[in-house]
Amino acid sequence: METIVENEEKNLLEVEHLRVSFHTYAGEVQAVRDISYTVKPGECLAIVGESGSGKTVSSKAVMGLIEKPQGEIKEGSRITFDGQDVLKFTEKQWEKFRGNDVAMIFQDPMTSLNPTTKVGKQIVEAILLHNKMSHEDAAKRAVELLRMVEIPNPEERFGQYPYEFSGGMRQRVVIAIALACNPRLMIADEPTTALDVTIQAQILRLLRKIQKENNTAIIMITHDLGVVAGMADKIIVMYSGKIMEQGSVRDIFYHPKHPYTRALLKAAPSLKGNGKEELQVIPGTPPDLINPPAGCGFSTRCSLCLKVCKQYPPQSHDFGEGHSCTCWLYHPRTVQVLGEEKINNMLEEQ
Amino acid sequence: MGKYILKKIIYFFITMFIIITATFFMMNCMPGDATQADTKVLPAAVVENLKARWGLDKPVFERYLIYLGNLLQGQFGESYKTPGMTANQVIAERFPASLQLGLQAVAVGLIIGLILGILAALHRGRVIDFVCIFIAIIGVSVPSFVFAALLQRFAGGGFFPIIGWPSKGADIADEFRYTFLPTMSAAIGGIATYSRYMRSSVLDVMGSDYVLLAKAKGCSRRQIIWRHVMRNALMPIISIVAPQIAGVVTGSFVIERIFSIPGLGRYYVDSVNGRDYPMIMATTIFFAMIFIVCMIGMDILYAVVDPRVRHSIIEGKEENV
Repeated sequence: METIVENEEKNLLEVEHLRVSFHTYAGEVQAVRDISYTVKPGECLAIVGESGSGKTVSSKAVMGLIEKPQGEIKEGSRITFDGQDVLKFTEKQWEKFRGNDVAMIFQDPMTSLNPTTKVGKQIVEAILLHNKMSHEDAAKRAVELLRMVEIPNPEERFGQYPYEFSGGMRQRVVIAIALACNPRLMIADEPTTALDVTIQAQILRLLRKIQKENNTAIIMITHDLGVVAGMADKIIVMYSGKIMEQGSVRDIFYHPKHPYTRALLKAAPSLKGNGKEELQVIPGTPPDLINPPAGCGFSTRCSLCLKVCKQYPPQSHDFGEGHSCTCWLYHPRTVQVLGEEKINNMLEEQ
Repeated sequence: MGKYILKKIIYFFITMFIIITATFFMMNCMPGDATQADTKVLPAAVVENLKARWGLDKPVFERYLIYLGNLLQGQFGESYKTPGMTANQVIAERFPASLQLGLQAVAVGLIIGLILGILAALHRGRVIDFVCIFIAIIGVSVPSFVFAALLQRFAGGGFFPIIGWPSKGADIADEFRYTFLPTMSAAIGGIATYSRYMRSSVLDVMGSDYVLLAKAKGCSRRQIIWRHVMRNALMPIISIVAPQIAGVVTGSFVIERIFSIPGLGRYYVDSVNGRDYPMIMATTIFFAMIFIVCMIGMDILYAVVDPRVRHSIIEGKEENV
């Protein structure tokens, strides 16, 4: 890794050349194909992409939740958390690591709590797994956590079962479980997808509050750019198991480089206008990751696709300040052949 | 809660009344009666006599009313085929053996079946899994009487008697010796069924989000299995075990025959063949009662295991109970 001098702070998480495959009857699905990114303490990284783009798989790999033998993290992948090479962990080390250093919040709060165990007990369990303390102290801390995630009457709620909670309240409980051991990194896998919009806003506000108060780094996985806008420091756009573009929120929203990112932003329905405009879509479907395309993964759906895009994988081009984009349009050769003006025109007309 | 129980009791009586009525009239639709059930042809005068004695000369509907009246006094009536014994006495004498065999078979079936199912699920795709599948296929496809015969041939004769049943007050060793083979024969089907159900149930729960969350919390595999999987995986099993208990407890005709067990199963079949009306009614009512009691037991067990069900019962909202 080249060292970036702009920020002296050490990276909390470094993912380098991560490749994850799943072995199915149909063949080897290459869900994540060589991605690298970093997260600093207290930072919020958003991973955006459509279903099957590998965003969940890449974060599960960080938690050691890729089930063997179907799932396989390929040779050459490296994940470093606070200097430790986590992929070399033994099962015991993983158990100490999960929930303690890194916690995870899942998509569907309706199914992510054990239906036959009291909510309080599920939080206490998480506390006691990593802390030596009495059951009473753990219970007190659990009530404290419930209060922290803004659940009214935490003492009473402590002894209730998940079915007595609404979806938004359950997600708060899941967040409380994630916070149980003050993790330094929280991975939120589409935490608001299953919730309605008002609850979604509340949960996001809560996550932001936690991030500020505890200086917890967050990896936010979502397919909703709107969720990301007010929350993230950095955004990674994933497609077909690869990173298409990454950069700051400003870069991605105001200066998107990659045709896919641009198409995504256009596809977001706008609240402005009279509501009669046709919704923009990206035609086609993502490629089959059992036989991933030789060239760029997006080439089959890209309206600006060049001949080279289908044959050779594009390389990453740095635009400075952490903004980079993996697209042939920005390759020096392409610029030389087509001319900068023509490329800009193409992007304009996209 | 009280309302719930009251409702269950009322349902119980309504169900019983329907069963009694339906059985009574269907039974009377069967051609022939007890006087013709034997190979021997009885003289007309004897037939006349017997019919008068049993009340078969009266119209069906009147007999039905009389029967209901007797039932209210707890009388099932005298058996035609075993004169001198009331149906109540037959059941009292014969039921304990069937009950014991049934309970032992269910217990053994559950213990072995659940263990096999859990092992198979935890070692999916490995040797143990295939062994369990093999046992299950054998268990469901080979009839219990074939098993009984094989056990008699290869395991019986020495320590385990080929036939017979412990008499009242037998010691533990004798109980075990006599009941082992019939219990195993009767349990094999259950082992197969429970192990398959348990396997898929465990796999189902293992794949659930809350198990993934437990893992993400830092639970070890053992903690996940005991704290999060077992209780949830057992729930679907309850609903298949209850009716099976009723079925097995009421006597396995074949197993009882093969091992000469003085159980009730034989009477069920014999009474129908012999048009032994009081016995048909008595055994049917008795079995129905046991069945319903098992179902109620299942509901209660559900409430114990699943807080959602408990809640709806206590609150009196029982749309889903």
